[in-house]
Amino acid sequence: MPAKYHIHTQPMPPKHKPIGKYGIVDWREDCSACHNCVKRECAYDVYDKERDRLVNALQYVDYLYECKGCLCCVQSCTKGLLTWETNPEYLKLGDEVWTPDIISSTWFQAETGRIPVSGAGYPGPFCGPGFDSILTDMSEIVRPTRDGIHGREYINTQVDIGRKPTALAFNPEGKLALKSPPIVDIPIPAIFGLMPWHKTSPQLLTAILDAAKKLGTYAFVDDSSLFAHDVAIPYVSGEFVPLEARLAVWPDSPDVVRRIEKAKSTNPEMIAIVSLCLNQNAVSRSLELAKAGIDVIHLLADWHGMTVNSDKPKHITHAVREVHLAFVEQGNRDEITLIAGGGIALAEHMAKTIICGADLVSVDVPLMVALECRICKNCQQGLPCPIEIEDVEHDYAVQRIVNLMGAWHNQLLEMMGAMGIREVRRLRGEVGRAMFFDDLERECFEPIFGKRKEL
Amino acid sequence: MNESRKNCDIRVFYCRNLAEDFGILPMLLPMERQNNVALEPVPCSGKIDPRYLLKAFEAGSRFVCILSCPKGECKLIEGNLRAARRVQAVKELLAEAGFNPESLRLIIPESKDAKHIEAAVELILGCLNKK
Repeated sequence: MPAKYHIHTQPMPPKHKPIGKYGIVDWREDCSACHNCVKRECAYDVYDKERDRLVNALQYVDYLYECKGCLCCVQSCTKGLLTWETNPEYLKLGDEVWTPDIISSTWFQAETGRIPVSGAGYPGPFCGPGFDSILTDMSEIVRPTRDGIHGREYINTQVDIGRKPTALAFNPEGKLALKSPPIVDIPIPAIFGLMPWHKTSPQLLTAILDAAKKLGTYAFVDDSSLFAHDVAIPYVSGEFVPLEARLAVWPDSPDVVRRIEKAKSTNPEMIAIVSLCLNQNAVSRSLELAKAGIDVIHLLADWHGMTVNSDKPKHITHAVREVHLAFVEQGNRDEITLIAGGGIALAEHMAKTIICGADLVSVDVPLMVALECRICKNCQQGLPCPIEIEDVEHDYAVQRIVNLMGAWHNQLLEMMGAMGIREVRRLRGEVGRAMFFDDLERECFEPIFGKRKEL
Repeated sequence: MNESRKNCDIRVFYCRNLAEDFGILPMLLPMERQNNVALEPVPCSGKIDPRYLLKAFEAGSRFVCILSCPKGECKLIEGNLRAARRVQAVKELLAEAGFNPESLRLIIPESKDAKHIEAAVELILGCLNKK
């Protein structure tokens, strides 16, 4: 059995104070100093930390929002002196897609490399827009294996990038008669995409590339000075031909096929990727590109995970599913590789996008969030970055990205284990392992209440 | 943490609820641009603990100010009243230790009217300019 793929994480504390979610206010004057004080029982030592830091440090009020919100102390204080408060600054983070909880959990994963677990349970709704309208089927979770998915049980998360032959042919000597097309395999179904709006310095890009190398994956790069990096996928513009690259990506254009053919004539072992904006023509254009011999198609939604330039924007999951099903109908889905990107913010989004038909995903903004980006978009407006992301320290950035992907990988293993799937390539298009809220609603409630009104 | 906040002459603790509900943040932010002023938002002025205030002085602050919600407007009902009692207690401690108790100030706007809130912020600015 091959060695298990394992991402080695190690704690990497943040450089800047994270914006915490909850704070506790206590009415000290009414305290009866009883012997079963709930402050001593805090599982996260929040009160002890407060005391210690008041003694030792000068940054004394920074811990005000370090409460994990388990509510143990609030519930148990016999005199009801403690009150739970939410930090308004926290609520202002991000936007409706990149919610404060997503940003905060990404910070946690990048810091610890662990799967985030909410101390206060899950108080939210069970469905919502976008990725939240897909529920993964965890039916196999009732029968966990003895030593679990992190023990002897092997779950493969390796994916292939490149054109795959649909059948093999052998010559009379029994040897393979066809020359297998170039193919690259990566141990996790994720590559690193270009940042949609962040300003990326060469220093930052180098850190992303080094993290990708450590993980065994690849990263898109648009800075020509970094094209020579081992795991760079050059983002090619004009007539430039990346001679050394194993993979290269071209933005879609009317003459993209001609340019790729020209590049392949000098570098035949190269795998060509076409980055296609997910718009209303994405299905027809993808079929056209595949027919013209393109190996890999990168379907790129906007950074909120919606199709671009459409009257009625669709979510990336719907758009990818349409493209996937179009290839299935044509009978050539297995030949090409589909990479989906844009709006992928959590590990579950990666699994759900794969369920909807992508072979792998491209990750962009979460990498910046791992480096403590607050999605304030100051950089877009030319304002100074509150965390000075462009001058990020190399080792810190590499480890934070590795930690994030380690946590994502573990979550993918957990999800696949619970779904009873042992191979991520089998998860592709496996909609039987998911329930779509729209379908459930249509099947269960439409016969009773009629069709939902369009808003 | 912002390095410039470590050794500040002046610390202003303000209730976040006040800042949120009455929109005083734009008025306070110009203060933070002054190098010697640190703005410390707290979840409620009732969170202010005598230890925070004493620690602020111990850390080198010459003037500490607390901005709380108007009377009767505290989200936690009595946070601002408790803050007032704690400030009084710390003032007494400061006097006992030989420091000027006026270097600690609690500012409570008279009401939630914009003019009273603005007056409270002006009062802080006035105190800062004097120091």
